Amino acid sequence: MSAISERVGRLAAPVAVTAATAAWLIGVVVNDLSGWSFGLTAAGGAVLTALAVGLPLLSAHRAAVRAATAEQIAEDAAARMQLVLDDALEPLAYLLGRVTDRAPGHRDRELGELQGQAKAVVLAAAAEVLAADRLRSCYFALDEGPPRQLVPAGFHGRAQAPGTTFVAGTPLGDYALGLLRRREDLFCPDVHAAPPPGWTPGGHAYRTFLAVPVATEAREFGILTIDGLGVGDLTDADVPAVRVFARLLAVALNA
Amino acid sequence: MDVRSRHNGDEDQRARLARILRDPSTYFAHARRCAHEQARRLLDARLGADGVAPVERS
Repeated sequence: MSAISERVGRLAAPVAVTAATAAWLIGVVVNDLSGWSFGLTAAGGAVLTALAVGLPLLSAHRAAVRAATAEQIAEDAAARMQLVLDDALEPLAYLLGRVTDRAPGHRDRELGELQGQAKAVVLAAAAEVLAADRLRSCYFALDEGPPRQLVPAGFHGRAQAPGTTFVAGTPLGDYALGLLRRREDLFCPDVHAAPPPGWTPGGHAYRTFLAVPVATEAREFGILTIDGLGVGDLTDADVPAVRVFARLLAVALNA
Repeated sequence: MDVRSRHNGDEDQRARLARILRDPSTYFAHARRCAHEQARRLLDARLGADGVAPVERS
């Protein structure tokens, strides 16, 4: 916007107030009003001036607030896209290349290290690229047992290690293992309002969480969870990005 | 539009990976800040090209 039009925009409100006020003041003077007719004209003029100027100003203020909000949303979306693609997925894709560069079927110490790095990158990225602060990501690795179970195998974020083991034969364990078997994800907006089946209340600092399978079509490795301290810290919109990270971790572990 | 080339090869990715593994929280905090600065620059440029002044923010 040019400097002239910006200056005109800033002067619009005082000019409008002055013009509207001058209109009824001139009327008062020209008609030589006094007494009750002066009072009525002055009061009516003031009210009408306030309406004539105030309503457009209010509308302009609302438009400015909406524009600022839209700009902020656009900035956040663009920043998130760059963060996910450029700062998280690109280094992870490079790491996957190193994993798959290893000779097929040849397991060695370096492969184990690379897979450990992939797990660390996925845990960090999944917790850090989402919008809320103080999220925690956890990886629960599948242990074929018996009993079959999902055991804590790493976390990132808040300094509180996960303590739950999901054991087959328990309601919560069967539910979690079922999610993994069916390749389903789970989003729980509020564990107090609507907990998952078999949930034990108490002992959890978090209020909301999501869980996604870490699996290829043929193999199951575990589940990746993200949890947050407050209702609203996570949304449905966060699930797809975490699913992608979990899928890529499965690719690394499948080497 | 100018032709641009950005070096972003294996060495760069190896260095970024090392930073993530060494201190992931600092890496992503820096990345978030840079991503927002870049997004703001792009947004301002786009609004400027359309003849709209960016809204002043507190």
